[in-house]
Amino acid sequence: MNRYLISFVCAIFCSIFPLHAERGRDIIGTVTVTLIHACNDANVEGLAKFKVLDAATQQRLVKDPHLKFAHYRTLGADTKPLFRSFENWAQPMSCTDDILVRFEAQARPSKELTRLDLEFWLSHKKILKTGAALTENSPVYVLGPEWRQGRMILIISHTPYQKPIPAATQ
Amino acid sequence: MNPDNQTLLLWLEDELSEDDQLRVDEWAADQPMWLAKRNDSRQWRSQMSRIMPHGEEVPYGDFFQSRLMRAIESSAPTSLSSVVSATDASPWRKFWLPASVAAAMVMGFIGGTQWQDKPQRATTLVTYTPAAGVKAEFFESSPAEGTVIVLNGIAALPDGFVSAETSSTTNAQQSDRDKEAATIIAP
Repeated sequence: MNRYLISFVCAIFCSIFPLHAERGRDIIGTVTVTLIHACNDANVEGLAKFKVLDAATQQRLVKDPHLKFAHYRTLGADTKPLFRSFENWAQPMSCTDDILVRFEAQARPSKELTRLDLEFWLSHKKILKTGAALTENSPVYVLGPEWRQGRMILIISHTPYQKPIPAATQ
Repeated sequence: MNPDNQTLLLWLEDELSEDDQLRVDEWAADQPMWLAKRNDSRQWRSQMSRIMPHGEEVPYGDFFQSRLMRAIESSAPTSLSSVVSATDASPWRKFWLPASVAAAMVMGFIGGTQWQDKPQRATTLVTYTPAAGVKAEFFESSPAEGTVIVLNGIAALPDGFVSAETSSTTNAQQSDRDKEAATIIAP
């Protein structure tokens, strides 16, 4: 009797666990990390080649007193899939891994809100760890270190998928 | 008439009734071997009775129970009354108790599913800054339509931290990267 019971439990475990592990790699949305440089001086050396930030985002930034600057340029952006229960990393500047953002879904996301574990790594050191609630149109802004007479700003935004992409179809 | 074995064993132990005892005694009068055995048995019993102490009987049959009951009554007189009142509970109470438990379970289940489906944006944000001297402040910014985290205390980055020549975020390359990312992750 015990032998049958143990076999039954093992069969259930073996059938459920791989399925659960596979579901962890389902893509439930995307996370975009944009690194921008904000300053009040128009003629900062070495920034002319970077793309000027789009007007819509600039308007949102200017309205907030902490993020208000005269000029914004995009240093880099990276869009990475958000897995159901696996972590992922975004590297907004592909030329260097000195600026990284680690993110992971905290719980089952809803249609309105997604809670993320966020970490900001600078020069291979963790600078910030937080748990933020993001909606599709409400990003997280991180006013970061000073650089070239201005500040670096990270914009972390999330786009949820209506239907998660199963890991098997990736 | 010869007695059977069971009668003989009882005779050896002096456990027979008076009539049977007399009848077996008559038979054993010319049986010296059985008489010797009975004598040995009587001697053995007398020796054992001298060696073994007599057992003391408990003064009352419910000695321990009565002492326990007295201790309970003296220490917690209200507990007994509560037990009595529980046994005398009305049928309404017997009905409402499982119903209320079931209702609480249903409400807990519904509340749990609601919490799972519709998490609310936190009014507080837990931030952790492991680097020495770095502090984080957060603001729910309605103008920027998002959460603003201000990091203070980070050392300024050197100008050569990011090289404009090697950066991949020039206008042309950025558009290529956007297209590539969209191709990879499009649902």
